[in-house]
Amino acid sequence: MNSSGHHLLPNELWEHVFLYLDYPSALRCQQVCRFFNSIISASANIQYHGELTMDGMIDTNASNLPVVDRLALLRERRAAWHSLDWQLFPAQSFPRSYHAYDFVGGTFAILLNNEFIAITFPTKTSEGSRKSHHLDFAARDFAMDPTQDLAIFLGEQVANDPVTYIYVRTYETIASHPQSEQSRIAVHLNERPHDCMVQIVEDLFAFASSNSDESRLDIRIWNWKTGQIVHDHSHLVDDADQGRAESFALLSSKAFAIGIKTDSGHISIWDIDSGAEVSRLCLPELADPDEWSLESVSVDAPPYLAHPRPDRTFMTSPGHRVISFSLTYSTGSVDLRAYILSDFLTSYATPRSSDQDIDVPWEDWGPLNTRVMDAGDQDDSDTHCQGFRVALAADDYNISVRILDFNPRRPAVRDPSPSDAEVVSADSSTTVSYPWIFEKDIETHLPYTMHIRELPDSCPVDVPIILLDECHVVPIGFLGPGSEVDLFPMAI
Amino acid sequence: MAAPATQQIKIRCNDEKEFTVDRDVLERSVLIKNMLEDVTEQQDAPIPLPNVSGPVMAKVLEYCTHHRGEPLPSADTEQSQDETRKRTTDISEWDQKFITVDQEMLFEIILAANYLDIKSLLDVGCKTVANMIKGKTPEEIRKLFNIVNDFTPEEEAQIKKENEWAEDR
Repeated sequence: MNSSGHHLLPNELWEHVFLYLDYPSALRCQQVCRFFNSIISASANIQYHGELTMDGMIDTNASNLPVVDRLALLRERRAAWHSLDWQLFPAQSFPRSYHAYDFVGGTFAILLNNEFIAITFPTKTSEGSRKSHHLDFAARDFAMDPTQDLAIFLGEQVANDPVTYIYVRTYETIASHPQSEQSRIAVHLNERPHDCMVQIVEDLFAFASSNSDESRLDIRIWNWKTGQIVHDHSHLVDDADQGRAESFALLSSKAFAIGIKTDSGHISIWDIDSGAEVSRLCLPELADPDEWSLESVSVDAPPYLAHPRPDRTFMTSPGHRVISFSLTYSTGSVDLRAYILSDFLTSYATPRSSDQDIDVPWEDWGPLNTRVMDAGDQDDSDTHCQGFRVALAADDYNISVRILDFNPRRPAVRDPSPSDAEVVSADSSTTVSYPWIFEKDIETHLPYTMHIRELPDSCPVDVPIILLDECHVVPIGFLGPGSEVDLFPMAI
Repeated sequence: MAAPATQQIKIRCNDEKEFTVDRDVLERSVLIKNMLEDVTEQQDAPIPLPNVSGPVMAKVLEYCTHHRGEPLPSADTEQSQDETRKRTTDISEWDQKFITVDQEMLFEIILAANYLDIKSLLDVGCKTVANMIKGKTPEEIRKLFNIVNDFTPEEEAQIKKENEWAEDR
């Protein structure tokens, strides 16, 4: 009998079989015999799809590039993130009087009362653009999903008018959105919110607002296409026993999370369809809540794109996002970041039977599925997440950027050695120890890799915020001359 | 009983076994479909299929009869699926039962589906083989298909090392 698998199927049919395998299984086949090895190492298709999955990406189906070229592009991109090999582009500025900004899928947008500016940064292969629209209303905040040609604006409240409007517009032209049945949605607010945010996930958008003394957080979720409200959480969260809702993030079109301040605090997970709270993921237990307490729980969730961008070959898989929770204890004396994957949080979003306890103690979920770090002297606004990456400005005198990558893997043999970047890999656990605050040390295991590189000399000394997308790192400087804010786009 | 309008086609396998089959069932095979389109006049001579044996053809026809009437994938969708398919190995219940055969028959069906150009059957066969491989160690895979390890120990160690990065962490 032929001893190497030839007798069973010809090459191209084995390739067909291997394409159905997950990548680790396909690579194990490579170790079976020379015949299998030659098929797998010669197949760009197997390599491309395998490495794409390993990198937490999906193909956009939009590219005409041959698979061999896509594979080359994927490897080039991975190598560039590994070494933080960036290309500098000229700085761009916008007035410091902005109301809100957002960075979604390669586009930076700024809201200046009733002007909306959208900047698309250049990449290594494409030109950038900048355009400005005049809004026919004054807006306070916005959210956008350029892949749905969608921008949703929260109108500014007119004095003493209890009704505030939310405008559903196209991103490209700021016209009424053709897929939306109501281009303007009225919201009744008792007072001007102290803080508010708008977030879009697929067909849904959420509006969260806190009242003037921040004692409560109202959450409302609409279907932007029908204009129907699908979840009204504006009357549920002021029960003192339940703790105070502090922050909010839409996880998917099915679930959202609320950061709740109770004694030790918890992350509350809600199922949108049933409108029910389904899980409470408890935060680390406090030693003596009366002495040292949890002050605030805030959330940063990466932008969510409903569709692939047509000009990109691949993109981060939508569920593959890292959510950052900022936990502040004892009036800011201890500031922690807990990083959790969105897929993990949504796994707690399935409705349970009514007699089941929805509380999940920290020990049961936290240590293995989070990474808790000291935030140093950074404040809440410093965390920017995109996909499975988080960008942090270094808190020391070397002006550098730290990219935390929560889709880590061991370096492949073919990966280049890092150039100027320093790479710190954390497969093992790390411990955060504040014995006077926490009952036990916080030991967490979620693996990540950190890449650190000094920023170029052209960036100012003080760069408190670093934005990122799939192929950019963009430091923002607030200390430029005059009243401008400067962006320093760097393409990966 | 076939409707009177249905054209019957005769085929002959490599072991002389002959089948008379409704045209629409046979046209699940793109190879036969194209052959039939090339022939303008009615022919009585059976179509020879030198690469398929009677028992395998009987299985293939069982599949084609069950799936008759379903739309055939167009060349376009086939192309894009090939390149970017979501590599799900889900198989429908009927197909799953159908493909529960011994290993030799499984490979024969895959080869026949490839030769006859029946994309969906080829996929079912290849997914089934993939499901057999999934999660197994190289040694288990060798045992499964009766394959001899022809690597030198050095080569084996080298490949193992190169692939370490993809192993579960």
